[in-house]
Order: sequence, then C-alpha cells, then structure tokens
Amino acid sequence: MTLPGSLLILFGILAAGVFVVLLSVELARACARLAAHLAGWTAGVVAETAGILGAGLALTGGLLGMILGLLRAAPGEAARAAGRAARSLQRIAAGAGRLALVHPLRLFGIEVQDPLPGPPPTEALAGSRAPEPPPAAAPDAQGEDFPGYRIVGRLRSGGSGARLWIAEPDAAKRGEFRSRGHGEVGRVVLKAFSLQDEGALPHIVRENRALEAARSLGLVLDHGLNERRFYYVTPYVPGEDLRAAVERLHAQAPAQGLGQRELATALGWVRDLLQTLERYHAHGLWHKDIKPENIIVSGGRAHLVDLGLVTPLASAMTLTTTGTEYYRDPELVRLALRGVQVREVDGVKFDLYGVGAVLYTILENNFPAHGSLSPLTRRCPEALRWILRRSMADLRGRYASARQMLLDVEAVRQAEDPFALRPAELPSLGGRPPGDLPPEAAAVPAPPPPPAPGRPFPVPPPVPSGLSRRRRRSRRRSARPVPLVPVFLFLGFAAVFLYGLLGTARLEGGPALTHTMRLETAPDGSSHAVVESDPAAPVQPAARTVVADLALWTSGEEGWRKAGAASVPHPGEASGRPCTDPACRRGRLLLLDEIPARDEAGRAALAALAASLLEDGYELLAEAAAGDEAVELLAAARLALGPVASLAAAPREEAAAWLRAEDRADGLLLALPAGEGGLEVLGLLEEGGPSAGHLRARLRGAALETP
Amino acid sequence: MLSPSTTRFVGRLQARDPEAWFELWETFGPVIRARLARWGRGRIGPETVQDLTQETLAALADAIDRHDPSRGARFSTWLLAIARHMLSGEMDRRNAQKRGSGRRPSGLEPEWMEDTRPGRRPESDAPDEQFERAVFRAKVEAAFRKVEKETDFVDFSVYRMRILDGRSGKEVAEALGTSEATVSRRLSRVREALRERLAEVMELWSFTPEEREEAERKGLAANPKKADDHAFDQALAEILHAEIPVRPEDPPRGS
Repeated sequence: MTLPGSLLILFGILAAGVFVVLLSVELARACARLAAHLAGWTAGVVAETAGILGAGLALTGGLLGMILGLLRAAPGEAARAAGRAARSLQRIAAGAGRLALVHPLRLFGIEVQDPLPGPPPTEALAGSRAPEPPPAAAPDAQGEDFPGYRIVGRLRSGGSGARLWIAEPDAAKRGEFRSRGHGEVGRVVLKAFSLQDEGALPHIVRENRALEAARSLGLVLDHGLNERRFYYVTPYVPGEDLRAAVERLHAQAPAQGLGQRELATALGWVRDLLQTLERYHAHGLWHKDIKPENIIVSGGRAHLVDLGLVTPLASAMTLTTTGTEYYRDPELVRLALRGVQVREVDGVKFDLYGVGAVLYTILENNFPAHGSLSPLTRRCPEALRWILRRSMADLRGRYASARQMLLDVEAVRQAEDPFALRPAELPSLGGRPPGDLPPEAAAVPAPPPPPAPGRPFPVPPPVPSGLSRRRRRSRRRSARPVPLVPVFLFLGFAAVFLYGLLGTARLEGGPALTHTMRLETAPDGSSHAVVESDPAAPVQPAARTVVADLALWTSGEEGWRKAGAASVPHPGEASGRPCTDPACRRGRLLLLDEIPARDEAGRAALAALAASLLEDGYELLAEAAAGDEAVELLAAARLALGPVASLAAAPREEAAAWLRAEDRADGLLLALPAGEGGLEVLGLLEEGGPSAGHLRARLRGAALETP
Repeated sequence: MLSPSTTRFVGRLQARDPEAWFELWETFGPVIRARLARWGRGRIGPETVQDLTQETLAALADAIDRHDPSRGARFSTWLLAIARHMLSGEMDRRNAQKRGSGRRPSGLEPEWMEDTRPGRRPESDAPDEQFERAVFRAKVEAAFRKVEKETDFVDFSVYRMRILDGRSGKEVAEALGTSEATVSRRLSRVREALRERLAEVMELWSFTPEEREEAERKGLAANPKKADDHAFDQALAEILHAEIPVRPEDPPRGS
C-alpha cells in the first residue's frame, strides 16, 4: 500500500470516527430533549389531573354539604357557596376538556392555543417559560393602551402591584430603538401602573426617580403616560431565574456541595452580576433588590432584572426599608428607621450584601437564614468562604466596590484549583489580580450620556469563558476596528451635535424663568426656602409639565394637549386663566424634588413653577424626606415648609403635626429630570379634588402666557 | 424584678421607638415566626404568620406592665404564651367568620397570662425544650452580631474560622498568611468582646435570675479562668450550630 493511500484510509477512519461521535452527541441531545418533553408533558397531565381531583373533592366534600346546610339558615352564604361550586364544576369541565383535547396534541409537539378557561398564568418574573397569550378577559392589555406595542403574554406581578406584559414593538418602535442606540430589540416587558389604583402612586413615584438614569444605562427603553396608566418598557430576557438554575446545578453536583466545574459556572454568574452592578453604581444607581428571583440565567449569562426599587445613590429622599428579607442587610432597615437620607448611606455596600446573600444561595442551595452569620454546611473553597463573609460583613469591613469583590471572585474562578487557593492570595489581601477582566466602568457625571450603540442589556460585553488566551487574543485582533470606523464615529458625533444645536434652537420658546428658589438653614437648625425674582434666570430648554388627576395635560411641540378625557369641569378651566373664583380653594401641595441634588437648570425651572403657584395662594410643602407609602409619604414628611404664603419655615414638629391625616396635603407634585436636562413635573391629585381643576388651569395658563 | 437595662428597653418599646422594635424583631421575630408557622401549618399562610408575629411582639410590650416578678415567669415563656394567644385569637376569628357570628377573640387578660407560668399549665401546653433552646440561641446570636459590628473584620473572621469552622490555629494562620501567635491574639480579642456582650444581652432579655444565669450554666461564663477559654469557645460553637434548622422553615419575603 502506498503512503498516500494509507493516509487516505487513516483520514477516512478519522472522519468516520468524528461522524460517529457527532452523531452520538446529536442522538444524546435528541434523547434528552425527548425525555424533557415527555417529563414536561407528564407533569402537565399530572397537574391537570390533580387540579380536577382537587376541584372534585372540594365540590363533593364540602361545597354541596355547605349549600344544603346553609340553604335555610343563610341563603346569601348558600348562594355564594353555589357560585363556588359552579366555578369548581367549570374547572373540572375545563380540565377534562384539556386532558381530552389539548394534552394529547401537545404530546406530539403540536402547540394549540388553549380554547378553554384555565388557571392564571404563573410565569416567573422576566420569564422562565414561553410567554402565555394574554387572557381574553384583560381589556387593559389591549394595544391601544400601549401604542407601538403588541401584547403577546404576561408575567406574574411583583410586590408593586404593577402589571407586567410581554410585548413586541412594532416596526416604528424598533426603528426608534435602533436610532437611540439600543440595537435590535426583540420582545420587551411593559410594566404598567394603574393611575386609578391609589396604592400604585408611591411605586410610580419611586420608580420614576431613577427612570432617566436607567434609560441612559439602556435598562429602560421607553416610558409612557396616559389617562389610565403609567408604564415603562425594559428589554425582555427569557430564561430561568437563578434559584431554579442553582437547584439544577446542585442536582448535578455531588451531595457534599458544588464541584470545581459547577463552581466555575456559578462564579461566572456572580461575575456577570458584579459587572452589571459596577455599571449601575458608575451611573449613580442603586439596584436595591438583589435576589435570585431578580437574576435571569439566559445563554449561560446572568442578567439582573426588575428596576422596581432602583434608586439614585445621591437621592435626597429618605431611605426606605424596601427590599427582600434575608437578601437585604438588616443595617439598612436600622438606618431607614433613623430617617436618614439615601445619599447619607453607601448604597453600593448594600447591593454587595445582596450579592453575598446570592452567593450563599448558590453555595448552599438555600437562603441565608441567619444573615451574615449563616453557616456554610456544604463544601466551599476557603477563599470563597472569605469573599462571602466579607461581602456580608458589617459596613466597615465590607467590600467598598463591586470591582473589589469582582477581582476576588475572578481570582477564585480563574484559579487552577479553587479549593487550594488561600484567602491570603486574594487581590483584596495583597494577592495577584486575575487577568482577562474588562476595564472598570467609569463613573459617569450627571446627566449621564446616551447608551453606546448595541450595548447588550444589562450585562456588559462578556468575557468568553472556556476560551484559551490565544483564541481570545485572536478574537480581539479580528475585532479590531477598520480605519473607516473613526470616520463614521466622527460623522455620528457631528450629527448628534447638530441635532442638539437644532433642538436647543427649536426649544428656545420654552417658559422663561422669573424666580429662583433656594433652601437656607437658619441658626436654630430649621430650614426654609427663599424665592427671589430673577429676570436674568436661564431659560429652561426642555421644560415639560404633566398634571394628572383623572385628566392629564401635557405640553409638547404642538402646544398644550389634553391627554385624558375624564376631566372634572371647572370654571377656571374655561378661560385658560388661573381661577379667581373664591370657591376654588387653593390646595396644599407636597413637592418631591429630585432636582436639587444634581441639576441646576431643573432647579431653576422648578423654582419658577413653585413661585407661580405661590402667587396664586397655594401652600407648598417642600419635601426633603418622606416615607414610602402614599399616605405616609405625606404624613411622615420630616421637613415641611409652610404655610408658605411667604415660604416661612415651620419647625419640624409643627410641620409633622400639620401633615397629619386630618390636615394633610391635597396633592403631590413630583419633579423629575427629563431628557436633555429638562424637567418633568408629575402632579398627582385627588380625583375631583377642589384644587385639581384650578391647578391644571393655572399650569396651563402659565404655559400659555409664556412667549 | 426586671433589670435596669430591661426596664429601659421596655420603656423604649412602649414609646414605640422604631429602633428598639427592630432589635426585638431581628432577635426574636424569626423564632416566633418559625413557631407560629409550625403550629399553624396548613391553616395559616406566611402573610398571617408575619402579621401574628408583629402582633405578638406588640402584645409583649403592652402586656409587660402586668408582669409580676414574684410569679417567676421566664421571658421565653411569656413570648411563647403570647404567640399562642395570638394564634388562638386568629383561629377564633376565623371560626367566628365561618359561623357568621361576630364573636371576638378574648383579650390579653392578666388571669390568662398567669396560666402561662411553668408548672401551672397542662404538660402538653408547656413551652417545649426546642423553643427554649431557640430563644436562648437567639440571644447568643444577638450578642455575636453586636461583636461582629464592634470588632475588626479580620479578627472576627479568624474567630469564625477557628471556632465555628473548626480550623486549627495553624490552618487559619496559613490561610491568612500570618503567624499562629497573631491568630491567638485576634481570638482573645473577640472572645473578650463576646463575653461582655453575652452578659449584657442575657441581662436584657431575661425576667428571672434563673434565666440570667442560663449562659453561665451552658458554659458561657462572663468571668472565667483562662483555662475555661476552650470550654467557652466549644459551648458557643455548639449553641450556634445546634438550632440551625429552626429558621430555614421561613421563606424569604419581598417588600
């Protein structure tokens, strides 16, 4: 046999071997998929059967007897029991129908829309399963409420009471997102608060505060307000939550704890989480609700979701106790109870406590029931044990930044044998820092810049795990920008600059400011505001005012527009001028202001608004700190300035008494930073309250008077 | 007679000092919650357990004026009795609602509280040993937390590694790249702080002299001889490891 012939045979054997291996892998995958499908189908059938049996037992075991027993004694109760019995019957019929029609089809992979009424969807936040179709009886999910989006499913609501919908943006919206640098956006999550629900107001207030910064991070794509609801839009991350992923990981690991392979996977998630938090903190944001349910594992990466509690680190608001027990540092509660302001505490460290608690959950497959003293009962590298304890330690001993903790975590993850790594070798204790880390997220001054094009949500560009250094270098080489890129970048910057210039010119007709307001502290420690005329005050380029009771008024390029239809007619509205009717009682407004902390232009615009309201005889409560719930928000304000015809200071105790339930403020003005240094004022007033109509008219009048 | 520190703390509770409330909640809330969840399993949900726990702690502060030291009721006994009362009140309320009547649960009367004294209740109703251990452990953990706040992180970590994780002095020294003598010095500092805080906490959360001496009886003496250090460390580790299953019955709660 000649040499080339032998080579050919060898090559043929090798090719056949590779083919057999690939075929085996594919077969194994197919078997696994089939097994998973069968398991899922069986679980569905079992759950359905159990539901039918449960409903049947409830019907025969209790409800029928109750109906007969109550028929004479309490007909009303009997009627209610009959209603429950009817629902049980309906559930049994629907379940039997699904068992006969839907499940057999699903066994063969044919997905059909369930024609029968079923239990409410139970999908986890940000989705671990395929999205459910919107329920038929959900008129508030119709597209007209969310222009530009088509609802395709819903998620389970969180603690805020907001509804969460999965939606697909239409072509126009997708284009809009592309133009804003969000890249290709697929499905999104719509978080919607009903304005009719009083309980939702504090959540709207809270979630509004971080909206602008969250937009700059690419966390929030869009937001909207109409007469019925306030909503914002975030990217949808399909996948399973970290708790489910951890359970799966432990099911694969030895009983004594995670092995080296599982540990590498899990520490990759922790790395993703810390890198995400690094970006949050660099943009001045505090996530405030780090927990396994808010971390979605998708494509091997961990994504932090749920912006419900996101708070600016420099906020002047009072710290609240919100968060999730066991994942929230008890010290935060203690500080909140003392009434400290958010900016007086280091929110970064509280986020890192949450990361520590998540790390504990990963290692133990359980929550840290004893906080920082929770014992580790499973196998864990000594160095990782140190990292965990340091992240949950007292504030003084805790990691100072996400980057510091990230370096330690990466040292363990990249170690050849993490179990042999000593705490003394961690970078925070003088050990060698690990390689291959993305550069530190730079602190971003306010207002933050727009997001970089194509930046993924919410994790920064990944460091591909499992690749050799040589391959990473080669990837970097191949990704090196071609010389045309700087030219396009220059053109892009030029276009943005020109757009900004034109935008400023276009908005020059905004309201002129005639007053400024500043806070002063008297020698006795009390605070008061001073309003001064200032004709030379700067023009606010993008001031926008929104007032909501049931009717909403917005100002846009086309002028003032009534967005809502359910307004309460008032004499003051007809003329478009401030109401002079004595019956039109001026209200007390509590002003929640996030502007002074960071935005001079916004402060000036707000001062002008405040001054115009004061001239009309409103009493204005300037708020430096408030509690969390809507009523408490007003009642528990610690620093109130008023009565404020002259904006004289009221002692704190007096102000607190003034704000008690029987004599509290009539409404709330929430000033928020809007795009391009602008100002948005959201007025939340009691429906049909005496001052609602007047305030609308006053604000509208003020805007119309503006040249 | 209540100690001055207990009297002061009770005063803060009655004045609705939020920080005092949180301390009470942080220390004993999980124990009460676990106990209520165990009693009411299948009948009351986590939200109700949470509410009842808060009501229990509020009732504790309100009823404390009626405490008669001569009757010798322990703090832990009070806590358990009030929790049981809260639960039975909830059950009464539910039964009354089912029957359609407006019967309200009985109030927290002194006579009722008297029945909670040890030896005056049927054996089956007496606070069980596991609950007593859980309350004692909660006190030890409260002292441990205070020390964690006061001491240097490395000192405290050395103590945890050496005593709670069961590492030898040499292993700890190697792990941290330091000497055994340094490890020993750090251990002493934490142990000393622990003894002080334990004495304070035991006095604060005890109604009877017998309850105050419980720590000493269990090997956590405040002023031992040097030779007792090892026994102290061992007793502490045993107590902190012993009651671990009590709390994980509680699921995490969001807010």
